[in-house]
Amino acid sequence: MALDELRRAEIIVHTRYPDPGPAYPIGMGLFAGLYPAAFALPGAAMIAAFVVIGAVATVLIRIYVNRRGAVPDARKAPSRLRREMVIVVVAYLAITATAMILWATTSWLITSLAAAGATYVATEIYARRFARAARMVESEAGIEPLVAA
Amino acid sequence: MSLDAVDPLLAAPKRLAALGVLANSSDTEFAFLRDHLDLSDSDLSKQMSAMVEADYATVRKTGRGRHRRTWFRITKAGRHALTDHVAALNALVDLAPSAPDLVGET
Repeated sequence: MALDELRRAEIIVHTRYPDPGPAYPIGMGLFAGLYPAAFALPGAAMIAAFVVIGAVATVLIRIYVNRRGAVPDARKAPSRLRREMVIVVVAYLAITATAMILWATTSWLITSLAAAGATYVATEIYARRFARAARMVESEAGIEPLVAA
Repeated sequence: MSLDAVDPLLAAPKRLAALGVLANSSDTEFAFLRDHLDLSDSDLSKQMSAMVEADYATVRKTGRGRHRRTWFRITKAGRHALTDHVAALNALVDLAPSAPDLVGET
């Protein structure tokens, strides 16, 4: 009984979160697009752009963490969820590598648009897959589905 | 393994569950624990105070007014206590005679 309750608690930290909706892939895509664009700016403007991008990203992450109410430890996530996280990290690394190649061979605008588009798609797929994996983890653990996180 | 190894503070399932949540996150907010462990504000407050007092968790307040939030974090002592308590419970479960055995003994 106590162990069942503990197991449920350990799982819900990772599976219950407020759905950020389209803001998540759009925000990630925008971030990925602005990053190479900032590199194209001259000297001080580039530094200022990175500071602004970093500050906005920090504020948005803080707002989301406050809404979620927990900062789960990814290392302790159920393996099904961890696998999704590893896949998206690999996808982001592949996008970064591709963006670097594009940066060296084409214009900053093409790099920026390609990075934004690819990141948007990768994040959208990740969000859907993660949500599905979270539902499966809960169902396998016999946790009743939640109407609204 | 005996009953002595069971931590009396974690004997309450809800308190054990709360520490389980804390062990799986770097920071957890009061409202998350309340909503997902089906506890009232006062009950959770009481349970968490006991854990903070026992040095199983630390508490941190952020924001002001309506945006004031209370965050909890598990301590090293809390993590040890949880590990030991779960090991004790599992050992007791393993030692427990099955239902047919109990029937046979009576």
